[in-house]
Amino acid sequence: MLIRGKGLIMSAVFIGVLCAGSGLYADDWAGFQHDVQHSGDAMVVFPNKEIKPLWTFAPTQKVWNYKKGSNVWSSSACIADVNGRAMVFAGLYNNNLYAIDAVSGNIAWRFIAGNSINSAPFFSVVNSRPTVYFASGDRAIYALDASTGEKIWSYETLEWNYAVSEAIVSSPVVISVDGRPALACGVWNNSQEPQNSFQRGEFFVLDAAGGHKIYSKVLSSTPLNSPAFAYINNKPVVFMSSRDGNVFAIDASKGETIWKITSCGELYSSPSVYVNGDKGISRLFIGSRFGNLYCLDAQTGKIVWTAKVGHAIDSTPAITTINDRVIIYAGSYDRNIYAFDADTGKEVWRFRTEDYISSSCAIARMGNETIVFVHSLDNKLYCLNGENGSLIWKVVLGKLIWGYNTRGDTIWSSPAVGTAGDKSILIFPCYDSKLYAFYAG
Amino acid sequence: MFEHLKWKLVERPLLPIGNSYVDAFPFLVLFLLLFISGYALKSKSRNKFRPFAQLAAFIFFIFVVHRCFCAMRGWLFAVQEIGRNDLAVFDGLFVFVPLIAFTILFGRVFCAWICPLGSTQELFYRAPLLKRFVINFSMPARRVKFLYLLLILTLVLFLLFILRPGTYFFAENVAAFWGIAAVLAVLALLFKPAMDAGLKRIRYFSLGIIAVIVALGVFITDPWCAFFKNEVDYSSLLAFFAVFSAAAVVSMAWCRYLCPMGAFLGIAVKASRAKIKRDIAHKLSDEACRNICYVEALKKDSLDESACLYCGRCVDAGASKIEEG
Repeated sequence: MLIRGKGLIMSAVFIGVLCAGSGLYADDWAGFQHDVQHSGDAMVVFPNKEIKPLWTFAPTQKVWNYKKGSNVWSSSACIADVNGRAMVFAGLYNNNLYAIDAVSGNIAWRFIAGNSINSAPFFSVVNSRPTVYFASGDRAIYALDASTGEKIWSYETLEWNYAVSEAIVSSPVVISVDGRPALACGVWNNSQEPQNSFQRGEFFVLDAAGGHKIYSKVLSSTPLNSPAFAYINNKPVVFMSSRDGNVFAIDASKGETIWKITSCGELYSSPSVYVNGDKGISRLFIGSRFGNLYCLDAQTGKIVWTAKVGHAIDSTPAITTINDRVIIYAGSYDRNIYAFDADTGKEVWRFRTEDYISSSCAIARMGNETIVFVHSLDNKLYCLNGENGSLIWKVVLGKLIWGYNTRGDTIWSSPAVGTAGDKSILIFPCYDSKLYAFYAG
Repeated sequence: MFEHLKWKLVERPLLPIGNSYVDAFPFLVLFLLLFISGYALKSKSRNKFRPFAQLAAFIFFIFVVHRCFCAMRGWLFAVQEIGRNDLAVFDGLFVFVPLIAFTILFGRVFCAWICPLGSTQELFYRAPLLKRFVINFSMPARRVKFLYLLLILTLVLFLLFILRPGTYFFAENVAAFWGIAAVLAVLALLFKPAMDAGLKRIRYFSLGIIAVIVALGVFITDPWCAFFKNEVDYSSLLAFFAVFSAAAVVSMAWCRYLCPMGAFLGIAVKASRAKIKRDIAHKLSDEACRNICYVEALKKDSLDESACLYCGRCVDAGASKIEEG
């Protein structure tokens, strides 16, 4: 089987088409893992390896206790051009969504939700209005004006009563349903009401402009991971994974399940999708708690290959093309960051850190080279050569603000890359409560 | 270097519950093995049945079943998830419920008939050449054992320092520290073999401290996690190495002194209908007792009920009998 040739160009064209449709710029890091396919690959070029601190944003001194699944920052920041001003959006455990000027690091506005914001926000321009979407543990999905922070709409996925608990939400994405922008998001709600208890992982598709529900579908009794979106044979398809080990392909227009596959372990990883229209090839990549990296045929759900690593893969695989070869990057709890050949599933290289990795990779360029950014629980942010895995640099960041976290309960934040003015920037929301911005050039 | 090693033959749930990764198959296998083992223990052919049960359990839980056969952590985790995640509750308790039920029905058959870690340690005792070394407590043999254990201890501590398996050094390396504790317990025994009975009480401390650590939400591993889950967990691997090495000096060192699950079942067995009792009419020397019983629960004039693994060897030798209440 071949996934070669014009893979990068096709992916870029596809993302470009989506970006044009939703008013995104090519160098926006729109949401979790950059784009709706979760490629993690930004067309951002760092001129050299002299990456320096640009600013640090540390908004709170509050240190609450760690609770199961808590994250300090949202799973990733989003970087976007809002009316000519580069902005960074990130949620924090103190229930605030912050909008920060990407050049100065000054706060532009903040919005207080009813609970912590663990999942990544998503930026899109809908009806000519720059909008940032996010979901919160308060069981609601919000749309805010990205320039002012004014609430455009909010949608409550479950009405409050004394028996409901904090929701576990996925990162939302803006997709296209019957030609109009729609917001796709997974929300897990739990009610422990004696006569009416339920645990519900529900997939919501809302009208992105007005916040009305188009449809929803209960997929699991466990939380859902972040949805990916792609056109497969000209059909809009949403791919979702649930923690009970299932991967779903859902017709985005009708909400019908196209295929479903059950893996042998819990899934905390979100799917990432690669489509090569020239070759008629579409692949879905996802990691499992059993330590398997799966490559599935995105059309049929059949397993193309699996690669076993030493421990769980909770990170979402990132995808890029180097010299016509499609490469997948994934970090594991066995402390390694792996690069696999997307064709064969063979390991290309691995780089060992000093602790386990749950964050996903961000891909950028340095001159002609592909570079990969990844954070490990050894408190270091690494920059690796994407082709051979050699270390370019590493920087030591702070320790977790809480005294302890249970291994595997939280998927820690991932880096994001974008541009701010004439600078290429790297944004990393760290669990030491600081949001770091680095730049080169 | 072990990252790509895969020994699980099945990589999907064979009997998925609610179309999820949670598999009812290991539950059924455990249920069946406990049932057969319980009945086989009462039969006269128990000695022939037991290796088959051990082998079947070893193959199923190490090579066939894809999931972790979690002992302590899974139980408490499952209790915390009641009302929030029913799948996780089943997943965590599927070992606990049959284990308790069958221990009450048939005695502690899990330890000697099914537990793969017990079977692995027993290999040392069953191998004819090694057995002589394992049960030899003469002064020259003790010196050799002492040096051997010091070497193992140094190696484990060195590897622990090099690998630093967990983010939280003590908490997430509990398994490795437990392995070290097993080596230290055996070293203590070499100094004074009469300490055996006293050292066996450490199991209850081991059970208590692990229960507290897990209840606090700390992620811990056991010496067998790496094998059950097919994963590279250095803490678990180091613990296994230490336990396995200690078992070459004193038979079933882990089961005797540190196994928290064993301690738990040792308490549960007090409510058991089936009990193995010493037949005092059958006279035995200390040497003969040591030759029969892996864990030295069998004494000249008594049988330590909480330490007995229910292998049935003493019943075969006529030194004990099974009584049903």
